[in-house]
Amino acid sequence: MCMEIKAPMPGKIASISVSVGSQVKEEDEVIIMDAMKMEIPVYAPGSGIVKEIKVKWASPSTKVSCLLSFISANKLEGYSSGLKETYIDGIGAVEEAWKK
Amino acid sequence: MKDTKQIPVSPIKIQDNTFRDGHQSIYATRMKTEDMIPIAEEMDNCGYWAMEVWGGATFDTMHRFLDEDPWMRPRILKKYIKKTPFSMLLRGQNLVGYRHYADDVVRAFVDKSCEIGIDIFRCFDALNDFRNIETCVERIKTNGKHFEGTVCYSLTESRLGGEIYTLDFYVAKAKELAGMGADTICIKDMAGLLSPYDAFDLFTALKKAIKVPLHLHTHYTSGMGSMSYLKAVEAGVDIIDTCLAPFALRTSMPATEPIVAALQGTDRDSGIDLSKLIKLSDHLENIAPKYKHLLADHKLSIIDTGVLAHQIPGGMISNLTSQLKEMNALNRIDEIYKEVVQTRKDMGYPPLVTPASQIIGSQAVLNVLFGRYVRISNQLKDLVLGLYGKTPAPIDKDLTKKILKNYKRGQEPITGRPADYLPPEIEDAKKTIGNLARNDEDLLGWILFPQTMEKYLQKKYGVDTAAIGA
Repeated sequence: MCMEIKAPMPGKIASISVSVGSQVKEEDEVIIMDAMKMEIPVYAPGSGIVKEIKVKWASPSTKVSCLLSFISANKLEGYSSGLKETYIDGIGAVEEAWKK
Repeated sequence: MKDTKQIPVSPIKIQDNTFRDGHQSIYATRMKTEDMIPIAEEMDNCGYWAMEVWGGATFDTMHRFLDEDPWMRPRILKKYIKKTPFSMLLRGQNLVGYRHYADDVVRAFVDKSCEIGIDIFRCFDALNDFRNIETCVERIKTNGKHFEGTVCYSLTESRLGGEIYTLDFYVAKAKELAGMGADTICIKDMAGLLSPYDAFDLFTALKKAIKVPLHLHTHYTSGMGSMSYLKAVEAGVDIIDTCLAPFALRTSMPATEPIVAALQGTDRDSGIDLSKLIKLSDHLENIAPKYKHLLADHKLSIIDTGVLAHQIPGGMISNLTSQLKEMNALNRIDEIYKEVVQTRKDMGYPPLVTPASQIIGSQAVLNVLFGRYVRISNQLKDLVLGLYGKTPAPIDKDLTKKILKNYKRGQEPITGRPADYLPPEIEDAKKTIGNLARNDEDLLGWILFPQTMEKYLQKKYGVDTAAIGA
């Protein structure tokens, strides 16, 4: 089964902890987002293998709803990515906030 | 004005903050050195106790936005301002940056600051954990400079008192600073929370307990600043911070002129010539068109009554609002205000000043949107881990365990001085930056702000960007 991990909030990509083909376990850190001037880690919702990473470091891309997808080994239950309309937006917004 | 010519028994001393916190508070720290020079000599003749001209955000904005070498401002101003001592704001182990730096960087930075003309160091730690200013203090003292020990003012409730921030708390903190050799002690009310009668009680108590001169720094944000100064003056505060009118009020400091006027003819008359100040303000009005666009004018009110309602600093409210807007969740702002109070309590009541204000504020947002401590920022984990220092109150053991679960930097909170866990940085930095840093000033600047300083240095030396890293 294929599963996507979505950005929980707008921000930019601070670092990517996995690469395509990486095996991840539930609760492994896969990506760190930079949002609200904070590093916010995003964890794997289950175990599996990373299939595709859809973002790049410092991605200033707009309206990307998906960080990466992975082939899950387990059934994924009770995982919610939080917000429905999520996107990675605006290195600009974060930079502007930081300047203040 | 009536000329009473009474000789003041204990004149109030004024630290001018126009060239630092004045433009930092209302013009995004964008004042250029060239706009300071035309009035620098006249400022020197006013009779200020000191002028704060550097530190805080100035180092960041000078190289990032103004294309100025941050180290040059005190040097340039010193050519014009020969009598008045220079003061700077130093965030302890954070220096003028946004993280804790290793001791070798801190020592080199303080030594260099002394060399370029800083005389007085207003040194504070955001958590009031004075282990984070020890290294600074050692260098300030060794260089024979003035150490102004500083306590960040914060509240547990709407007024002084409650669980943590009591009169006794501030007296104890001030005594701790006196014990560290403070030449003056400052209460730094960065959020404008201090109310007039609390100011009176606070300085009455401090005056009894402390021998060295006392300094009060407040902001006008809530609208109480001038009243608090007056009551503090009545209680015997020795020095207050103000700005020339065009750079005062709003989220900046109370203005110099009205306080000088109000105290004329009293036993606390500052002795400053009001007409000189008014001339200086005229110069600032003339350069105003350059800076006016930076002024927040989305509201008619120049004070922030929200601060009175929930003690959340104005800057933090605007950050929270813009964050929620980005997330399409602005309708939850009232929940967030409540959660900020709870999160701050959970985290042991840190003062809501950078960086704790950002850490607590963003965590409150995460708590409301995703459930309490379901998503946790790494900075909050660092705070719980003790990497910023000791929080004013301890953090609940079970909550600590939950927050630090699987955290890669550690699961058991540290109890030592945070900088003891940081390896020296200078030698490694030298290797990384290579020839781009041509002297120790470039190098220190780069350690503090690697990305933006690299760009600045490339411009400064006309280096081809493509050649870097080769």
